[in-house]
Amino acid sequence: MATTSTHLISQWDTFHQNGPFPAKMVLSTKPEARHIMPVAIDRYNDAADEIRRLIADAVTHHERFRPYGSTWSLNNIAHQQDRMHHNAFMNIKMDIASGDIHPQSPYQHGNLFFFQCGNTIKEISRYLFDHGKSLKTSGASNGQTIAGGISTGIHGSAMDVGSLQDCVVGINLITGPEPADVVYIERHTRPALNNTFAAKLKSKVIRNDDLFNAALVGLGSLGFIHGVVLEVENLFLLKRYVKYIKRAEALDLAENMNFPNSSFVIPSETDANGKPLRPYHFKVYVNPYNANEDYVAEVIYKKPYVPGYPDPIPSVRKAVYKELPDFMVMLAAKYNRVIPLIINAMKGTLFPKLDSETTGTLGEIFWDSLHKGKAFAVTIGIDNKDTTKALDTFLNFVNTEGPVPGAIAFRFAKATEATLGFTKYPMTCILEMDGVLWDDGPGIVSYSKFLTRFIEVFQQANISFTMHWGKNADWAFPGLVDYMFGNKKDAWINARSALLTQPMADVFSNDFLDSTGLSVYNAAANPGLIVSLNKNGNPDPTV
Amino acid sequence: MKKYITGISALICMAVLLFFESCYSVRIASKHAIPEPNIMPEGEGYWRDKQVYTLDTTVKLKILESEATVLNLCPDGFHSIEYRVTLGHVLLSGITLGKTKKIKLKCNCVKPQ
Repeated sequence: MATTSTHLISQWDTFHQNGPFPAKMVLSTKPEARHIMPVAIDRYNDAADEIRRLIADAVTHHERFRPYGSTWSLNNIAHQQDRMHHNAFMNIKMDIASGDIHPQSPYQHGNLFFFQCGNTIKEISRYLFDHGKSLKTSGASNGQTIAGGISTGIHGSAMDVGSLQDCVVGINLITGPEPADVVYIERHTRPALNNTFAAKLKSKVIRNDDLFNAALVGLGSLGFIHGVVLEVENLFLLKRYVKYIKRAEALDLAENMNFPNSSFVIPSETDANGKPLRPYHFKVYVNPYNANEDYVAEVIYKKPYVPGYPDPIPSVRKAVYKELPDFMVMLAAKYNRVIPLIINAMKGTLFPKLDSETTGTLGEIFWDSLHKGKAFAVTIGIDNKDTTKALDTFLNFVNTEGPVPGAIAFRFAKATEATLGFTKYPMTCILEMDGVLWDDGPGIVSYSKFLTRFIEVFQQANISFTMHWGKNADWAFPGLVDYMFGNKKDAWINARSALLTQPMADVFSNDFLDSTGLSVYNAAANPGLIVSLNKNGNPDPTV
Repeated sequence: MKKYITGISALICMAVLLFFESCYSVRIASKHAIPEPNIMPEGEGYWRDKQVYTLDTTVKLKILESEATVLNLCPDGFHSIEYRVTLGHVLLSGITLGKTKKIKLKCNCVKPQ
């Protein structure tokens, strides 16, 4: 039997120390040991029973229930003050056999893998490596769990791939305490696994694009994500270059993506005609407090996998004193004029090493990151055509109302199909500031005011934008989600309302959902939203 | 004069204490192993997201024994180990001709698969 340990607590915090938040209880479930239950799917179903039992207990006690993984989100999206469920030990992995594939599936069985919610990106990458496979994309590091990662829409900068959730082709949800509350969701236009496999998961099948797309970035609120089916690809290498780039070149590439005709050339990455190749990944780093400084470009090209490349992971990793960020923040709170000096001095730490070339797998290039003290990150998605306008708005904002201790970067991902995916623009430019979370002081704008003014300034500039669900924002800003997503907000609420009963919708809500207005329940939501469809879009009588 | 001697003695004692406390730690980690997570983040820095196990013990060897191996700290394997050595530990080992070994370490195991 899967076992759950109970930890009574008074507060809970994120990895990046964005809390603490008041909390009563953490539950942590471990699947049964392999030697006692050798068949993976038995252990998986046994864990599902345990989660249903925990949900039933929360319902009995009239308390909310919220799963979390690695606590990497920089806000309270993973927090819930009643019962929190730590799922990082739920890491069963299953290969997909040819007999599991839906007859109309566009996917090759060798490229599909089933992962339980608590598998981290590093863990998945390692497992896939042993199968000669790789994730198609990941974030800039590897500590997130798969359920947490897709729920907030982690994205990376694989321009033509999309975000992590765009590699998900099936989701297994537990929406309540009853056996009938286990559902397996896929797109009806691109089914992946057959009904027999879903039956092995003891799940009701719903093939429905709209429901699936709502569940892809579900903010932890469409039930307990127990497992996902990922589409992966053959192992590949990435070759990473870090170079100075002129601002004009960077912004031209950002807005036009016209790499072959760009003046930014990496000599070893050109075609037969000498034209620059289109990279797999493009990211630009900006020092916001030095307008005369060139930007730094991180450009990564995809290559076939060939063993024998130099190990890209350093043999010794050094870290700065962990007290240094605290000291900087203390200094900045009193004398904000030192912030640009600090950013200049810290460039070696904030930006990747210039003129470096590194080759490795996706999992090696986007490897472990270290905790470096209290951190903040403000990340927006914009149409890449708006990059110059948005960047200049951002730079003007932090130079006039700041400075604040952070550096700016922008990267790119193609549009997600997820209803509430923040990478919603055809080519989304992800514009972000990462830095040290500061305390209020006489010499610096308050953190909360900075977050509020950020939204006001971008709205006043008439820039269409979305915000990363796992990052910092004034999430209670009136009308923010409507501004970001328009009618898609209602589509998501309706899908959630159709899938969950009203009491269960409340169980899976939290303060974050309440403050964004997304915990609203529409009792009149169309039940047709959760009808399983065949590939032609008609109700499927076979499920 | 007596005052001076007392003062010098105090300084020497302090220096000796500081000297004995002087130490360094070495951390060794696996690049590809998956760390066992903790339930909630704790502390700061490297160990914040990892389940930490500590060992602070002294191993005494008999006359014909030359080495000792600590078992059962991470039954399935280590993700990372931080070993701390102080001058006091080295001196203790030296004085006892290697028969008393002070062990102080913290570690993280691999995540159960």
